[in-house]
Amino acid sequence: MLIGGADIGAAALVAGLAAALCAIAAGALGARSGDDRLLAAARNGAYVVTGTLAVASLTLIVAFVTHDYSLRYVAEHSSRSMPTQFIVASFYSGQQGSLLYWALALSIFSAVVIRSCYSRLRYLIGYAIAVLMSVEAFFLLVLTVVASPFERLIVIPPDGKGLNPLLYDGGMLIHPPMLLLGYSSVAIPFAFAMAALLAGRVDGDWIRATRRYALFAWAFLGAGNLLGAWWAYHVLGWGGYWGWDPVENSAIMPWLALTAYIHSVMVQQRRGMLKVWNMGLIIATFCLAVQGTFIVRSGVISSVHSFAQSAIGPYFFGFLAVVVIFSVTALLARLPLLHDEQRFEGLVSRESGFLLNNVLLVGVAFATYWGTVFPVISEAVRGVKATVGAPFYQQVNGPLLLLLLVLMGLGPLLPWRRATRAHLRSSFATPLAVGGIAIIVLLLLGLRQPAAIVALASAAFGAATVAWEYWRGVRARMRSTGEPVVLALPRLVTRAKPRYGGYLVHLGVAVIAVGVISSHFYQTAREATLPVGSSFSVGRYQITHEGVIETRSGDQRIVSALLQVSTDGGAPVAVSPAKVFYDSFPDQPATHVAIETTRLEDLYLVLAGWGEDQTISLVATVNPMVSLIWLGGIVLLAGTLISLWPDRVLAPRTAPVRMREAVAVEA
Amino acid sequence: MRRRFHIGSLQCWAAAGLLLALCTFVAPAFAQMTDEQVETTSRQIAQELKCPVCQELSVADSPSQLAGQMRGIIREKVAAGESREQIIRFFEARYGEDIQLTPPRTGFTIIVWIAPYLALLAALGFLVVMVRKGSRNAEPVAEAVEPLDPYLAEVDRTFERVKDEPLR
Repeated sequence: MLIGGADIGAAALVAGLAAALCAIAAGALGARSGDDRLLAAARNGAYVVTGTLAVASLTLIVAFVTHDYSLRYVAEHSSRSMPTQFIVASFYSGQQGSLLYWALALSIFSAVVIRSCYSRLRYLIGYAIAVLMSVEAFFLLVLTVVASPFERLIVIPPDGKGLNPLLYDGGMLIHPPMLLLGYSSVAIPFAFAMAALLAGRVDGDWIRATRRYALFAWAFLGAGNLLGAWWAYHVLGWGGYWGWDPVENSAIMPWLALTAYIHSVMVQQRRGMLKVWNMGLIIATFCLAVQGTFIVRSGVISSVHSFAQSAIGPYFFGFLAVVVIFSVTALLARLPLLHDEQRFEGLVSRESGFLLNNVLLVGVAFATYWGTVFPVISEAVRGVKATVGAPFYQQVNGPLLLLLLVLMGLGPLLPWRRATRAHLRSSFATPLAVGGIAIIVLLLLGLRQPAAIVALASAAFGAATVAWEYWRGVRARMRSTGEPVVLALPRLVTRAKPRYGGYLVHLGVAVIAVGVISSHFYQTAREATLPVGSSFSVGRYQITHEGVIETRSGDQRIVSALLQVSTDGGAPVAVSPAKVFYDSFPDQPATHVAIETTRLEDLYLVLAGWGEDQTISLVATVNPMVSLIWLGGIVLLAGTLISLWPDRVLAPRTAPVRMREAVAVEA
Repeated sequence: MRRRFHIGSLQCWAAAGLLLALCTFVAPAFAQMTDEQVETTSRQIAQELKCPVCQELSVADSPSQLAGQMRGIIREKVAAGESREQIIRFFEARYGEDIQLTPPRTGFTIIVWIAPYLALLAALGFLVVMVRKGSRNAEPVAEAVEPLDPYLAEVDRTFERVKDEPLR
């Protein structure tokens, strides 16, 4: 028999496993002895792992594109009639492929970080390679032993099963890859933290070296979650974007822990404090990321995301246990080295602001974790499976998130070390005034729910703090350099990208918060049974039912309701919510939601059912401000990008005195 | 101050719950509810019930047929003047305890509600102790600098004396 492409892929995975094991040994030994040849061998081993994973992935993509149904994975996740972009996306639509994607992404990040840190951080790199390759070795082991994407079928089917109808959406092309990239890139800061512990060099080097990777992971986890929310909103048809489903929870938890980490490392870099805490946070983040990957791809907890069931469970539990034991032991062994260089000086200070931020973020993560595992605990203790649904998370996390929002406005205005009364007065006056004005405006607009008013005013306060900080910086520059605003603003931002990018992220969060708060408190939903020709109204909208039509396109049967929607009695617009039946999944119709967005308000129409006489049952939801969530997401990502943007490396030269003064004022 | 928030928030939720309960109890007294009120109350109740055939979706949000029927039953019962408690009991008798989307705040399942707040209070307590300890210990550090002061004063005096003398 001829050697097929799939055999090349399977062989590449075995070769990759061998290379990873060699790199672990060479890295660990090289780090202990400082032998250049061993370190070079470890580095090259890591590059080989990247190469083999690239070959394996390419092989799998070729198998998908050429409809090679002799492979079980290809046969189960694609079919001939699928559009090409979805065939390629099928690569990560199942368990085996997404694990391969995870391993490939991490191997590419590893190669990049090893290349850039190889000579700069020689005393860490050996251990870092060993840790990174241990993670790779685990994934490669799972991919070769229990979850091989290259498993053969004895009987080759003429056509594949195709993709689950829920996955036929633009969201499929971006949401899973983003989230998986986020999960896997968390391993980089984790590996360098472990390397710092193993090498006994726990100064801030590992944090500086991996700052961009941590932000990168944060951005991808954040974007992955937001895109997931956007996808759920457009596809699932229940009118919301976040359901506190176990898989959503396990995707938000590493993001929360990483958010805490990104804030608290600033305290370590500036003041040499919280060293143990930062180590603990990055360990927790990595464990949560591994757990997230595992939960989404194992079917261990029932959820809308469980598209796969299999035997990888024990492997992942074993891996998680090893990670926890190893990293906690390393941390405890190095505890004497991790003493704080300075102490807290004031209860009202930037440091304590960051600490409170951390307690709240970890608190939200803990409550979410607790709610997710409680059904299992309840079943074990009393034999009754309890349901912990969205209302629990809203009631427990809601107040904590509100406090975080307030803190987001307070934190940047607090000085390091200790605040004086005069300083507090001068920095807080304007943003607090904006928050107060927001309350009055909201009351004048007719809002009456105290929780909503307080939450919206807090978001306004947070946004005002950002604007105030920008204005202070711009004003200082204009005074010292005489530049006009249009020049002062971009120059200010480029001089201190991490800081001003971070403020922009805060602004994005405030905008998202307005969207979430408004749609949570002011959603209205109505359900109606409509015979042909009848109409009903919800909010500002008048909806008229004109009939049901059935069409066919390719392997889909589409049932659509023809509706006319007029807003505030204006000219009617035709909309048609529909259900789509795929021939390969006839009993799992996909919902096509009709969303009409006017003035930041979404009219969300779902066709729930229809009868012989074309009477339809329709669920109409009015969701205010949901668009702000997506808009805020874009602002948030833009801010992260600014924070990440590398500084231009300039030849050293002396800055003119005036410019130096300007920089001093900004700082 | 932080402590007060937590008690406050619990009270706030308790008050909100009480108000909701009161509303649903008092509601039948006002003869007929308007359509909009029935709709709002039904939706609130539907949001607290789990759709039996879905995964983690409430009856209010589920697009499934069964959830649609359940919404119909809730609406009828609300219009007929039944209380929130009665309606939830009705569904609990049929589908079991886990038809409620959140565990009841009594008996064993109260842990799920309390644990996050206990953990948070413990963390905040730890934080306050740590910051207090740090800021108390900050003073001895300042005092430790003091022994240098007489020496520095002497340097200053010498410098003042030498400054005016011509260089030899």
